Amino acid sequence: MMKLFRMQPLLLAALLLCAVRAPAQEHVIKFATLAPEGSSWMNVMTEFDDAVRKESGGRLGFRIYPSMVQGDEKDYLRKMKLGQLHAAGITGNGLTSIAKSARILESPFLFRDQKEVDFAYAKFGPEFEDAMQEAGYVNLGWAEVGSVYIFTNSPVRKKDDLSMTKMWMWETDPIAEASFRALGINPIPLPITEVLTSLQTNLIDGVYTVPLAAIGLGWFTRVKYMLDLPLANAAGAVVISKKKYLELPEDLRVILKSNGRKYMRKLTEVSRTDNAAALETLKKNGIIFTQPSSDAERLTYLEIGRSARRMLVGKLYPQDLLDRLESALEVYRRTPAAAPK
Amino acid sequence: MRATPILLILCVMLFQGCFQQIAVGSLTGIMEDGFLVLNEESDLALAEAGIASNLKLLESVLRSEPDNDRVLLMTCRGYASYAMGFVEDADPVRARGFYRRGLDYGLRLFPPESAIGRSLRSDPAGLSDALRRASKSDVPAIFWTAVAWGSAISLDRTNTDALAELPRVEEMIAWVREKDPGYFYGGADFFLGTLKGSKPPIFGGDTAASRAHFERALEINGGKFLLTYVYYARHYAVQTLDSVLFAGLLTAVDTASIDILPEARLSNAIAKRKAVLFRKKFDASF
Repeated sequence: MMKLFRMQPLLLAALLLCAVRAPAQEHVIKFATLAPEGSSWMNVMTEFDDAVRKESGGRLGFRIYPSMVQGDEKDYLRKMKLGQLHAAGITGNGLTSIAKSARILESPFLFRDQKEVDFAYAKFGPEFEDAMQEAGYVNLGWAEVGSVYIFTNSPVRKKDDLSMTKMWMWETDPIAEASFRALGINPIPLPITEVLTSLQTNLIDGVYTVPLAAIGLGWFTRVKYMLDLPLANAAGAVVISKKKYLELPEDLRVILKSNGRKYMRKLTEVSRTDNAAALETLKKNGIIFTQPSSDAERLTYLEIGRSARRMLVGKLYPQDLLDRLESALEVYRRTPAAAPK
Repeated sequence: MRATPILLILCVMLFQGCFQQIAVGSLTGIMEDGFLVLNEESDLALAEAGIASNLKLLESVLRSEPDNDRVLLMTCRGYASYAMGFVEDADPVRARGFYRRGLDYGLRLFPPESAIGRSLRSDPAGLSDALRRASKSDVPAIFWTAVAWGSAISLDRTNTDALAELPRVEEMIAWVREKDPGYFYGGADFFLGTLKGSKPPIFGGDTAASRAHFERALEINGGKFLLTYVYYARHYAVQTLDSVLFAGLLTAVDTASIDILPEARLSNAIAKRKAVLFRKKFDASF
């Protein structure tokens, strides 16, 4: 008994020390994402959370809701307006609502490689982030979803092969609509959840997505071919409501934003690695990659991209932005080092 | 006369082989009884040690009898159960290795030249046809191979090759559900409830289907196989942010008697331990 009494002051001191070393978390950011648990997306997001907690001495951290437990992107934006959520991972779908001009970077056959993608985000990203701010959101970092490819059940080598396809379209996505119209396809709009069964019943025989999702969604089991020419680059970002952001003390905002940039860049790199691995997996699983039949055919696709982008002027972005983006890419292609940053 | 020693040696060798076969045969029976006894054990530490040593013994038997289906099935099931019950919550990477080991033994139940063996290894498109030709007696082999496989994939979600294997597993479990829905306490519905609940809707998840599968599994096992409640809470209630259901399901596990299903006392003891762990781990999910 005496021993126990003698221990009490020590115990008390230890408890006090713990209290001093681990201050209560003052700011919790409720964050939602479509990404499933255990995915690379979630793994990097957890690293982001760990870094923020560490640098803030435990004052700031995320509460992460993965796997669409908080609904879809429209739900995230609605809940952020109501203050039920503070931050979310969004893709083109969410971007349409908060910075639709940014979707120009998802327009068809715009980029020739990933360096061009990085160049365009570095040059035009801040402009789109201003648009987000006006809509009430702060961008914590761009996180690329990946290059989108067309998957079909008959080989596609020429534009005419595509026009024979019963192509799915994600409900009323304006970019997909313009792209397929320019390609001469009359797409079949369906919710994403009905795609697999529609491939099984032959209601559709063509789909488009990033390679990783083609595997995750199981679509690769119902298609035979992939056109080895990316249709577009799918965008993603992590945004926080401006209201929540401004509630944070200045030092925490700096920690949040600097780590956001760092980890979303990491996520873009991880996403590229995962999608490259997914392409190999698709090959191993018997998907046949087809190429445009000639250089002229390849140029045809680039022309189709040009005309599809013009169809979206006034709907998603102004002509001026399209002109500036296309000419900046032209300069970059000629002399990457001299292109205006 | 000179032939006698050779004959003698041959006879000895022959008898040795027979003895070994008889020994392996009776050992297989003993091991099967051992598994039943282990499933009835409520002391987790004792069961953990018992399963671990039995698994090594089973692997030793497979050295001399590599095609013994009964031993292969026990080893496949043993590794999958050991990983689920004793490893995956603390060390998912190690658990993944055990699930893969279970899968390797499971695949050995299907010779590579058989239709099903070929489709599982390299021709997934042929799996539906192969399964159509399989019979009810194949249910345990297909079920436990799928359990080991699916569990390994769930702990390896950044591996695109592994993700591409999942449709095969789904097909195997759907087949088990059709052929013998009552097998292993409604195991197929349990598995499908977990699978449909753990994926986001855009990746094929379906919470309504998840709930229906868990309810069906509970109906089949009379609510006595407690892991059903635990996985129902973890994969359906968390996904739908239903904190009341989550708490209710785990409380049902806490309050159930450990003797509610004597032949599955070990699974139920594991369920009780997981209920405590999941309550702590997922409390912040709501």
